[in-house]
Amino acid sequence: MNPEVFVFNSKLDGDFLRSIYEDDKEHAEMVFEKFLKTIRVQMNEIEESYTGGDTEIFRRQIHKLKPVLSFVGLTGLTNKAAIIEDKCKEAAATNYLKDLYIGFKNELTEMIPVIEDDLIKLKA
Amino acid sequence: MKLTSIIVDDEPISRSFLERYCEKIGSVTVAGSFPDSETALQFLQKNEIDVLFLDVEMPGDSGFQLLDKLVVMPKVILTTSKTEYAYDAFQYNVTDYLKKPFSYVRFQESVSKAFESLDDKKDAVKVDKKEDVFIKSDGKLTRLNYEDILYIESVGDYVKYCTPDKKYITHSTLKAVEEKMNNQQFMKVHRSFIVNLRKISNIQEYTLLIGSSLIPISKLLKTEVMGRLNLAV
Repeated sequence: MNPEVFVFNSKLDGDFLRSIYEDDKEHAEMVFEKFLKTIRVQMNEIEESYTGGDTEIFRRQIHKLKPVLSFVGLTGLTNKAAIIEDKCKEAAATNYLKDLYIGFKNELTEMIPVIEDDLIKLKA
Repeated sequence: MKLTSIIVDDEPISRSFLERYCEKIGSVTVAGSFPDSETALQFLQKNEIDVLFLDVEMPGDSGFQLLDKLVVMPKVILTTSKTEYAYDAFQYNVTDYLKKPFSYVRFQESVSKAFESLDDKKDAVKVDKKEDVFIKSDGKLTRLNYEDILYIESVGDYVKYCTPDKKYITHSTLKAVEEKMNNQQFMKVHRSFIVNLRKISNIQEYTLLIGSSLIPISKLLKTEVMGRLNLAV
């Protein structure tokens, strides 16, 4: 995956993606595909744990997703996940993290089509 | 030379990421990929590996809890998205700490570290290539393979070589045995005992278990014993 040949969507962290995939386009394609296959299920699980109210269960779900977001270039969302994870330790219940979580969830939802587009380009 | 490794991480994409990196680097074979500590432990009880790529936070036992259960420690490369485990990592004497997500270059550095630390160990082993010993017992000289010796116990003016099948008593001292069997595999753990480190099943406080024998560990030697097994005290 020569960076001169493949250019990731500018909404994704291209520098970071190049550092992890280098010239391995097939690897990037495989990870983007796996991410898209599982992300909705993971988001549902996170939503359920948020609704359940237990901050520790919610924190674990966020923690699990956190590095995966960077694997598809969503490094900003990895940082936001880290903030939510930290705040979980102080919050009495998940609804204290409502603004952070809703912002995170909306941004992630908006980015899914971007990743879908790049997967199509990676496969081309 | 290739390193044999396993990957332990509850997150499937993280596992496949490492598998791909190992394939790409070419010098690391992945013998198994496990979603939790429990299944990894089952594998490690039956198989020997060089490198353990280990996540910390997982459902069930954490990565550190898995390390607590290992008697013989491979080189450990922690793969976690948190930096707050650095102190524990130091305590467990891990080879490297990869903060997820990490680049391929960073992964290469980590594998190099594992090779370097294994080379150190290999150099130490090269000093003592001897793998058996002749002992005079019952009026004859008997060859005992190091691998068959569980432990050696001092009994007055005699020493007792214990193997799974038989005990051989010979006129000697533990000090003489220690000098004769200058081997990485053996270690004096108490004034009356030299043990085969590879035969230890478990350690509890100041006692270790080999076969069905409980062997005391001297308080003065405990740190050294744990160090030889790559375990933190």
